[in-house]
Amino acid sequence: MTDIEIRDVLGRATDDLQPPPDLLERVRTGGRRRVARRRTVLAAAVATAAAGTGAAVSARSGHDALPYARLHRPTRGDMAGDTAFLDQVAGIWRARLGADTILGRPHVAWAMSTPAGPVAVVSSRAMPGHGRPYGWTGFVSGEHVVSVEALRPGVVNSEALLAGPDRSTLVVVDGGRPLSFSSDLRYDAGGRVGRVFRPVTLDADGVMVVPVVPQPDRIRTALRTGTTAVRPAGVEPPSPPALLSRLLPGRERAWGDDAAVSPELLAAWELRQRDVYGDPYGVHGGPPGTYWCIRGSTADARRVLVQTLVLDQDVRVFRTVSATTTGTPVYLGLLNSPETIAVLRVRLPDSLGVVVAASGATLRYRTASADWLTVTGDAALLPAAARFLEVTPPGGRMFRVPLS
Amino acid sequence: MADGFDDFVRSRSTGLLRIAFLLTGDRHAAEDLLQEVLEQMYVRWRRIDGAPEAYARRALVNRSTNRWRTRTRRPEAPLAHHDRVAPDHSDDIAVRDAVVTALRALPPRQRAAVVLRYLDDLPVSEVARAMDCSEGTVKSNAARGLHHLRHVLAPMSLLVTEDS
Repeated sequence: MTDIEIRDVLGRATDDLQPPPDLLERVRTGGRRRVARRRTVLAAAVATAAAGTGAAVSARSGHDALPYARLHRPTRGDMAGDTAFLDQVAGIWRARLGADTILGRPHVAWAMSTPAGPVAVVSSRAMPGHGRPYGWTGFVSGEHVVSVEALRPGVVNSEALLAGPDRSTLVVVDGGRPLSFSSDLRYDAGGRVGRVFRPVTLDADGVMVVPVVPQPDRIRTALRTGTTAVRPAGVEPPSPPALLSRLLPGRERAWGDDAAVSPELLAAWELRQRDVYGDPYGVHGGPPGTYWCIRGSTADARRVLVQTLVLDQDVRVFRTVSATTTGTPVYLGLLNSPETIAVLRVRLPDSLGVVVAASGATLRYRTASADWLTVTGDAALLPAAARFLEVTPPGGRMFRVPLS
Repeated sequence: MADGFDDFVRSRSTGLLRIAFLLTGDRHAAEDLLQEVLEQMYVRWRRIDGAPEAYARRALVNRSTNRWRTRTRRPEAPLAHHDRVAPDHSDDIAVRDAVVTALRALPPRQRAAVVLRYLDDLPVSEVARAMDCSEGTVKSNAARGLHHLRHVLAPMSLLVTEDS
């Protein structure tokens, strides 16, 4: 192979590599952290020297400096002196990770008592090996390892934990950045999400322990640093439901051709694109078959949009009916559908009809006295006279619901 | 932050990532390495003597010496989108696999010499600065590394020829 061919294959092997789009931001964040830590270490060195202990403190950057404070800083917290507990936690950590993956004795960075029982933050060096990070860190609550995260430069490890079987105790340790938290979320009369954030106030050991709402089934507490959401340790974001978008027959009467409906117009109508209706700092999923966006037209050519917004089991229902370009969404409350699959039923004002939907189901309806009539698709705008809906879920048993 | 750092990152990070990838053999390791070096430069920006790019290359070479890894998925990270095989680029994937395998067999200094000379097309003098060695050492390391690559990558020349 010629030199040119060598150059070519090296080029081809790397041509498509691109750095992450947020690299600069990450570098700046990590760089500022290095600067802050360097100052902290130097200040500690000055204080130590002044105290005459003679302890040596290194101010080198790189792997030996913070963010690996979790590996080197003396244990803090009200249980820092409980050697039996520290030994127990180290043993739990070693058993969880495996003795062949960690190097040396696990180090307990924090050990504190909480209403949910004792909680510790543990770190350990990783046994050198292919694909391994510098170390590992995580929370241990009672006898349970809640989280295991890699220690890597520039990566901020989880500093918050929702402890207890009902996750009603928020534990926060010092991660070097200001945090605030919101115990719970609320919906206002318009269906918008409201949260009240309070600053995280750490004690002298760099710990905060506060009660929050019990949340055994879903995460209601949120944390943030600035405008960035912070996820509690050990919490994996649940899967959001798929959006079920339905365009009803006859919609062109009100909306015109689909091709003429601009993204800007839809953004004005679709609430999922508006931050005030979402919860960007929370951790949410939702049951399938509940996330709807149904667009149609009334008989008199008014635009209709029935939509839901899903935060876990809370399915907020909205309708918008308007003869003009824009419309005001009306919040109808949370979906209450105890049936085997969620059935959406929204009666429109002015006897304009009833919007119904049930994901993947076969639908029929009837008025007070007539026979059952077939519905095309799993979503429709029925006449105002419709009184009952028959739902046959895919592979399920048929049931009927009133359309009040 | 002094002027120029942001521009430097934006303009040179792609090229530096490619060097880091061939020095480490692993995409994630390369990104870690690059970020680490850039953070270091962020802290020292005003005190960097000479061209920042030369400083970056030298830091990449120094830090990569012990970071060569096999191309296995990191256990704590899921596949990122860039790790998925693009079905219509199978030739390029084969080339990359072969190149990484071939470079893996080289000692770190030979690997660095080859990557800097032939990926980045640097003059011998610049490579010597990055590797903190003499130009003669660069030439001998590059020559030995090339000898191995030519032997291992010779079948790749067919792919190169067909695409040219």
